[in-house]
Amino acid sequence: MINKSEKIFATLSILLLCAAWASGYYRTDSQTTRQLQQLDNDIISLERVNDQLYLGHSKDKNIPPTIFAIEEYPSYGGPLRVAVAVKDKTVETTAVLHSSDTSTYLKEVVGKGVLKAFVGQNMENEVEVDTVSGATMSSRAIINGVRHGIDEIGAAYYDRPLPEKKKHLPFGIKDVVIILFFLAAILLSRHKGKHLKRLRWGLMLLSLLLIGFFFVSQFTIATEVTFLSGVWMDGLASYTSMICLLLAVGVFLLTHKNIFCVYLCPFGVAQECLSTITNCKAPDSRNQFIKWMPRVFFLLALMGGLYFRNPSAFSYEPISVFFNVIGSRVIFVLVVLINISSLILKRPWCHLFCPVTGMFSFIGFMRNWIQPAGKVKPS
Amino acid sequence: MKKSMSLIVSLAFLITCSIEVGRNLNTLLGQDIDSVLYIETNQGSSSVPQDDLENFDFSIDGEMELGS
Repeated sequence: MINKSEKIFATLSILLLCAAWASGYYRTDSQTTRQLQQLDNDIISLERVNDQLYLGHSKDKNIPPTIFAIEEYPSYGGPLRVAVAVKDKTVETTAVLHSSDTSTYLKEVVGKGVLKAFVGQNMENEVEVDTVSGATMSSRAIINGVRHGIDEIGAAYYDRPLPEKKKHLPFGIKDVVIILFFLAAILLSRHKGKHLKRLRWGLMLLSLLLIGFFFVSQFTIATEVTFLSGVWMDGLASYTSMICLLLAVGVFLLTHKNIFCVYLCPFGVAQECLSTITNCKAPDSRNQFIKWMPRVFFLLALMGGLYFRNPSAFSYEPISVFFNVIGSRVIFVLVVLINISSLILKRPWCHLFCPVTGMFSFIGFMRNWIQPAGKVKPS
Repeated sequence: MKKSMSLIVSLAFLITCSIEVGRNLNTLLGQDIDSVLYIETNQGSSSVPQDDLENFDFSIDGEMELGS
């Protein structure tokens, strides 16, 4: 029996998400001219050459114009836009104009001098810049974007050949491994043998190592916002997290089983490992506040992400800090809190605050509303 | 005991996550929609005061050459 107030809340949630999506769509109208002016204080007007190239003219007519190139490259959270300014064959300025990547990752990349490496270089020189470990996608997008911007200027104004834009295949071995993990989890969920517990632990630990520590591909609110906002259609550096999200939801809808949380979630496994030490029990989540508070918080975070079209800014999961040691201090504190509470309560984050739990509750509720349990076809 | 512990832990998560989201929201609200995220110039990394934008001619020459 579905509660009437829950129906109202579910309908309201959908309406609010649609409103956030629509208002965010009209909000993000890029202001390229204002951004380019910030790259060179001396210019007083801009001349648009084509979609990528602009000429900046200064007051003094004898000074050659600054040539600007704007480039977009797929990154973790969607296209990352960079600009490069060249004067007298020298790179004067490099900048990141827009990014949907996690701010702490971007800060790490810029802090390691990825943008700075190009500044002051003659554009004839081939600048060698290494990607930043742990933030490979963001650094690769910046490096390739700036390089191609310089190449565009070289081809248009200095008779240099235009090399083909480097393309990085967004699909790879990670995606195949994720699919195999889900297949294994589906098989295991149907298994009724006596070794079920051991097999489950085997799969979970493998997932902890591969999906968690090695790939860092667990989906988060950022993935959900990226999916709902449609940013992924403009290209992503990797679709692994999104494949993981779609498989988790797809399997849940088809089999009525949340196999991701039970068998695959690396962060859930990490908590369960800690909980095993003290053999503690799951928290009591019957309290209405405990039940509704994470759902409302999740809804607000999704709305914020959709309105600002910034998937990472409203992501509060501790995944990247736990597995990649990159993130804000507040999230570091959260990781410590979760680790300590995992010794007192079993999987505290999963039961008390995880947005994925809220997402599955919502999808399960909608499924039961549209197709009540009595009418469900046996699978 | 378990009930109160669950509530305390739940509140601790709520407070920590609210701080994180609040900080990010504050940064987003403080950012102009057309401000540049990061700049590296010959003079080092910098940000441009908004006053400098006031005297700038925002009309773009060569608009007809779009897509050329």
